[in-house]
Formats: sequence, structure tokens, C-alpha cells
Amino acid sequence: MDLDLFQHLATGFGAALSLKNIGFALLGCLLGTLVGVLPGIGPIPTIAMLLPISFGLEPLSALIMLAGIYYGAQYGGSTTSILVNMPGEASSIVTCIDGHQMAKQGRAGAALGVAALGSFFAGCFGTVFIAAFGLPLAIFALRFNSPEYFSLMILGLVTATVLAHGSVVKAIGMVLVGLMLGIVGTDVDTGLQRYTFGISAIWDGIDFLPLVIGMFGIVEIVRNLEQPAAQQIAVNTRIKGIWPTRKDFRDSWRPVLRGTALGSILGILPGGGALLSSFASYTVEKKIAKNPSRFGKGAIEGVAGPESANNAASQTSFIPLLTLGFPSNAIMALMMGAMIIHGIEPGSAVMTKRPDLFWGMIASMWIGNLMLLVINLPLIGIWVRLLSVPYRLLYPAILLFCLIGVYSTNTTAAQLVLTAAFAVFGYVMFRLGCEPAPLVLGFILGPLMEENLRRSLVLARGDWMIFIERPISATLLLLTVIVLGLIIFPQLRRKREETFQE
Amino acid sequence: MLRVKSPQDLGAALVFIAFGLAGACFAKDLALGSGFRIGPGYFPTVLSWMIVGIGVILAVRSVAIDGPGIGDVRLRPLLFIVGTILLFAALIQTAGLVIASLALTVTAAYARREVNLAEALLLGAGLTVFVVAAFVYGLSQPLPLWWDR
Repeated sequence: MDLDLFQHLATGFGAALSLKNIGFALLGCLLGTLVGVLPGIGPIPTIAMLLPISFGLEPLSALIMLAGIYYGAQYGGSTTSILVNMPGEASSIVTCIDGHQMAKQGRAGAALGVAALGSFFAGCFGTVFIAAFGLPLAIFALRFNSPEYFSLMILGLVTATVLAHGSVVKAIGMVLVGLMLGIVGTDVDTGLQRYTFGISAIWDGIDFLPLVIGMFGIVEIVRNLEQPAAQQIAVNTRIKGIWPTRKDFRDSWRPVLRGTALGSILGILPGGGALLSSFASYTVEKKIAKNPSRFGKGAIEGVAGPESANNAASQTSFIPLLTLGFPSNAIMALMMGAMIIHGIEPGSAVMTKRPDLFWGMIASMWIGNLMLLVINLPLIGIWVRLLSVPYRLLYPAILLFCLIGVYSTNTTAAQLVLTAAFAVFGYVMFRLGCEPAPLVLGFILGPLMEENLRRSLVLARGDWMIFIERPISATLLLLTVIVLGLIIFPQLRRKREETFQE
Repeated sequence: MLRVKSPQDLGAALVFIAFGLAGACFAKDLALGSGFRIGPGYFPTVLSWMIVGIGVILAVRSVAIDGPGIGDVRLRPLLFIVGTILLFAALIQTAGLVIASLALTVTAAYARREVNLAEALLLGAGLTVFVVAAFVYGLSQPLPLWWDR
């Protein structure tokens, strides 16, 4: 078994180390760092925007590039958090707290160094973690049939709403709306049109590009423009001593280990991922510190832990997608969409039918992490100088790239009109305190859920008991009930709010 | 006397209830099917009523628990950005990418209060050259350059 693992990894490295794929990994990492640094645009619209371009690539190259954007953004986000107190990415918000204080005390180099080395360690561990746990999980998933998949999706969606940021009730509402939007179009079973209202652009269902670009990319632009113009930030790009001192190492290796472990586990959970892990890791470090009052005043543990955690989580959140075919967050939903477009059905079959793809992607993550370490530390000055580009020059460019991305999927203007509609809807929902991420999860899973429900009932000759008669399905549903119970259990809810508040 | 304590929740409640009712209403013509073979109307109808349920919970909560307000809405950015998207949609089919990109940069600039037309035109020219070079020639995306295709 262990030998197998190495053999598989060798296959993976063989596939990922081709010159072309290294190039795409590099491109993805650079783009990811770029959007991680720039506060106006996140990894979700960037990946969505680049999807049409990836259609022409081989599936492995496309996935390597898109994955690179995701974990590259985690790296880039930390840089701006530390240097200018501006989180380029949501998952680096906590890094601001102590990282920027360190920078003020003239220890920016040490903070950046620890963030990068911690992330690199976490990334390597995450890669091995996927390789080690992916296989058994995928083998387990071979026992899944429609009822199990249906129950798994229920559990996943419920957990995702509990762990998501903001109100649970609203998140559930958004998931349900997403499921509805997901089944718009021609019904596969009967060929009947559902909710298409005679609009030919949505006969085959709503494309996810207009939805994602509208609700994430465009709404983000509008929100930024509503803010009063930010004052120019004076950035001191001269950073001395990126290599942390021996004391820094001594102070931060334990937080890095803890952050990596926490992130690896939270990354697997639906709704978990980078954001939750970095918050959780910060809370843990503060709780167990001998002197918690140092936190917020430049404690290196407050940088080392969360930065490792968010990187580990961004790696391990690939596990449910690659083994069970379940996307645990909005970015994974996009990756799932990308795989489907390339004709790959996400899930355990990827590992058996396309081992080069599965292991190649995993190997590319390690290569990507190494690249980020090598690229980012020397290039920090250049990345930071990008911040001095004023937003008024940035947003027309972002808008244009978004729209070209939407238009080039199938060159119909109707998709652009749909984008505008989702932008308005997304903006209204943002104003009403509803996050778009759960909606995207529901949207991707809608058709799959209905299909699995139908198949289950055919399998059981209409007997709903099938969901609790099959042991795996019953366990998954029992877990769902427990998770739902936990929401009602007030103490945990308070904990959850605490975690997000800090 | 009922007092709205959380305008955000009430707003979300109204949107969810409206969405759910519309969903249930437009699914009326779709067969629900039997327990053995559920029809095309079954899944959407169940979802619709669940969404209505979420809306009702939020409505009750909005008068019971204090929550944040809607906030300070400025319509200018939203209107200009959405308008720009629609203009781009109209132009790319009829006038081609070059004119659509230029128009986009100019109208998008009006989403901010302080408009510098010269700067917007300059930026538009630069961006247009870039997207034509990168997307049309570099990545050979199927984009019409001009009106004559």
C-alpha cells in the first residue's frame, strides 16, 4: 500500500513535471498571487474568468492552472495583510492583526518569512495528506450508490451552511435558491422545460459563469465603488531580513504544526476551507498562549498559525471533490464545473480512470508551493508596488476581463444580460445580509441531487425508507441530524460567533 | 404593535417568500409524479415551499431579534456598472470588441463621481489594445473584432 503511494506520486510527478504543465502551474501561481495581492478581485471571479480560456487546454493543464490560482491567492493575500494592513483575500484577515503590527515594529521581513515558510510547510503536508487519505476515501466511495450520494449531499450542504460565515437560516435559504437555479432548463428525465419562460439562452440550464461572475465579480466591483475613495497608501518596499531569526523559528514552529493540523482537518469539512481555518487557528493560538495579551501587538504565533492553517486547508479542500465528487466550498464548486466541462466526472472514478490526472494535480500542488516560495519572497517588492495602482484604473479592466470571459464561453450576448441580472440579484442579497457562496454550492449540486433522489426511489421502488435502511446513508443522515442539533445547541453557536468575530 | 427590529432580515424574508411562491406557482404545470417515479415537478415544488418556510422564519425573526439595517445604499455605482454590462452586451454583437471595450471603459468611469474623461479614454485605448492582443490573437478566443465579422 505504501509502495503504491510512492508509485502513484511518481506517476503524478511524471505528468506534472512536463514543461508545459510546469508553465501552467507557474502561470496559475502568478495569477493567484496577483489577485491575492489586489484587494478588488478574489480567486472566485478569477477562476471563473479563466474557465473559457482553459477550455482549449488539456484537462490536466487546465486544472493545474486553476488550482494554482487558488493556493497562490492564499500566499498573495498574506503579503498585503502584513505590509499595508489590507487583506487582499478574506482568509488573510486575521494575518493583519499581528502581521501588520510586526511590520510597524520593523519586523515585516520576519513576518513575511514566517508566513511564507509556514505556508510552504503546510502546503507540502497538505499534498501528502491528500495523497494518503485520498486513496482510502476513494475506495470507500466505491461503495456509494445513489441513496448514499443523496444523503452525502444533504450532510454536506447542511454542514456548509453551519460553518459558513453569517446567518445559518439565510445560508440555508441561499442553498435552496441555488438548488432551484441549478435545475432550471430541460429536465433530463422527461425533456420538459422547467422555469425557462421561453428564453432560449437557458434551455440547457443556467450557465454557471454568468451566475458566478455576476454574484462575485461584479458585486465586488460595485461594493468597492460604494466605499469612499481610499487614500493612497504609502508602502515601504524596502524590507530587510526576510529570513526569520532563530528566536522566531523557536516561537513559530509549534504554531505552524498546530495550524497545519487544524487546517488540514477543517479543509475537508464542507463549508470549511481557508477562511474558517485561519480564524480557528488564531483563536487556538491565542487560547493556549502563555501570555495572550501579546496578541494584537505583533505576536509571531498569530501569523505563523493562521497562515499555515489557511494554506493547508486550501490543499485539503480538494479531498472531498476528488474522492466523493462533493465540492466543499464555492471555489471547489468552480473546479467541479471545470472538470465537468472537460468531460471528467468528479469523484472516485477520477482516481481509477484517470490516475495521471488525479496524481498529476496533487504533484502539481507541491511543485506550485515550491514555486510560490521561490517566486514570492524575492518578488515581494514588485507585488506590493502593484498596490499603488489606483482602483479607478483597475476596476474597468476587471470588468472588461469578466465580461470577455462570460461572452467567449458561447458568444451570445444573452449570457451578458444574465450576468447583469445576477449582479443585481447578488447586490440585493448582499444588502440583505445573504452570502452568495452557499448559493453557488446549491447551484452546482441541484441537478445531481435531484438525479440521485430519483434513482434512489426507483432503486427502492418508491420506498423512502431506503435512505435509512442502508447503513452508510443512515450514518450520513444521522450526522446531519447531529449537525443540525448543534446549531440549536446555543453554546456552540456562541463559539462559532466568537471565532468569526476575532 | 409589531416593530421591525431587523430590516435586513425582513428584506431577505420578502425576497425568499416571493422567490418560493413564484417557484411553486410556475411548477404547477409540472407533474409531481408518484412515490415510485417522482416527476419533474416534485423537486422544485418541495424546494419552493422550503424557501417559503425560510422566508417565514426570517420574517418572524425580523420582528423578534435586533439586527443590522440595510445600510447606506448608493445607486450610482450599481446603475452605471449594470448599464455598462448591458451596453457591452449590445455593442459586442453589433459593433465588435474594439468599440465595445472603449465604450465600456468610458461608461464604467461614470460609476464614480469624479470622472476624468481623458484618462478614461486613454485607459480604454490601452485596455483595448491589450485584450485584442491577448484574447483575440494570443488565446484565439472567438470574439468579433469589428462589426463586419
